[in-house]
Amino acid sequence: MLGILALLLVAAVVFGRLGAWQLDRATERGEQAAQRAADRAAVAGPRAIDEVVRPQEAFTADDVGVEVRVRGAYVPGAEQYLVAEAHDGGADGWLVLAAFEVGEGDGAGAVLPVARGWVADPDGVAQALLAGGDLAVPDGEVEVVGYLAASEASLAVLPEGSGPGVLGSVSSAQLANLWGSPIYAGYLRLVSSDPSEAPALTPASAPEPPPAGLNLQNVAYAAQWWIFGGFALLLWVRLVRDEAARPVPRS
Amino acid sequence: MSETQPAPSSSSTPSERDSGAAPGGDAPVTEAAKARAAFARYRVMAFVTGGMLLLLTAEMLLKYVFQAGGVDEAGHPAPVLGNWIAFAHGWIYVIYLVTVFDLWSRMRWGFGRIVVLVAAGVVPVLSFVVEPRAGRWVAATLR
Repeated sequence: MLGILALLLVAAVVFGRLGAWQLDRATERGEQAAQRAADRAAVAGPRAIDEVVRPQEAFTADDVGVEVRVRGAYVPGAEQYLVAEAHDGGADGWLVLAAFEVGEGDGAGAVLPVARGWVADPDGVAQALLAGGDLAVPDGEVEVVGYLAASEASLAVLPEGSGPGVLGSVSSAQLANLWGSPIYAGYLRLVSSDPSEAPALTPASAPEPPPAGLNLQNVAYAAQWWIFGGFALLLWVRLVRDEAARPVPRS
Repeated sequence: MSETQPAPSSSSTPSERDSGAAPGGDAPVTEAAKARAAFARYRVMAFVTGGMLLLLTAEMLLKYVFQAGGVDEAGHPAPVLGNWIAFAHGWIYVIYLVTVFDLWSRMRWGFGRIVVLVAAGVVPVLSFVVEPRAGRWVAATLR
């Protein structure tokens, strides 16, 4: 009897460990799947934006970080805006946002916000560059390649000390008011451009990929192992209670 | 006089209660009916679990031994009939365990029998062998 009880406890512990192991596997396999998808995308190269997202269409987590190629032109005379962003998690600075009018496919005529690049902070430098024309958009037809990134919620509170032309976030809704619609529900973080970009701009980093999902099959296995562990404990409790209820045999 | 009369012994009362022979004779009938219902539930799950297990065994053989589905992009053998089989079997087995535990508790059987019933759900074909035997156990216990 004692042997059985000990065995059940051991089984419960082992099942619990197996469940934890399956949960690890779920994380691991989710990350592997995300990695494979990223590798496939890297091999395939930039895609046409129409294959991924259309203007005014909802932007999904799967679209984040997809590299796309678009042909069009920067909207002449449209104001550029600065959005505060730390570059590579370090230095403070600004993203330079411009209105890009898509010139081909389903998105023809729609505005795609393009983060042309990043400039370091030293007070007022970005504004001075903008005002001085150093950050003028390329003229005429431009082919841009970049990573899609999700629009953010519009922020009412601007960073301290920011001057005119500064936005709190990259928000499609806010940009639609400034630049007009139709507009894409996301924006492009420029990787390369033909003709090439202003030398004052540092290419923006790739957007943070969404957290890799869990492999659902392994999550289910983890849950099942824990259920089996609970079952072993239930049996243990049951056997102990039966044993306690049994009259003590006289010897 | 009172010494010759067979007084109701104090030790027989609890054992009568344990056997379910409560006053009125109504309770044992419903207990037996509940036990039979528990057995019917177990029986259904024994067939479902046994069937799923055969399907799972076939899938495992096709997938890992014959590699009928080839390998996926990560180099692992690919599923043939589908990943859902392993997934479904796991949850069906959980339900099977619930019915087994319910039946076993009601029958107040020994530990050996629950081991057999639990094992029957994970050893191919065994559930079909154990199920009629469990039927005989139930008949014997309820007699």
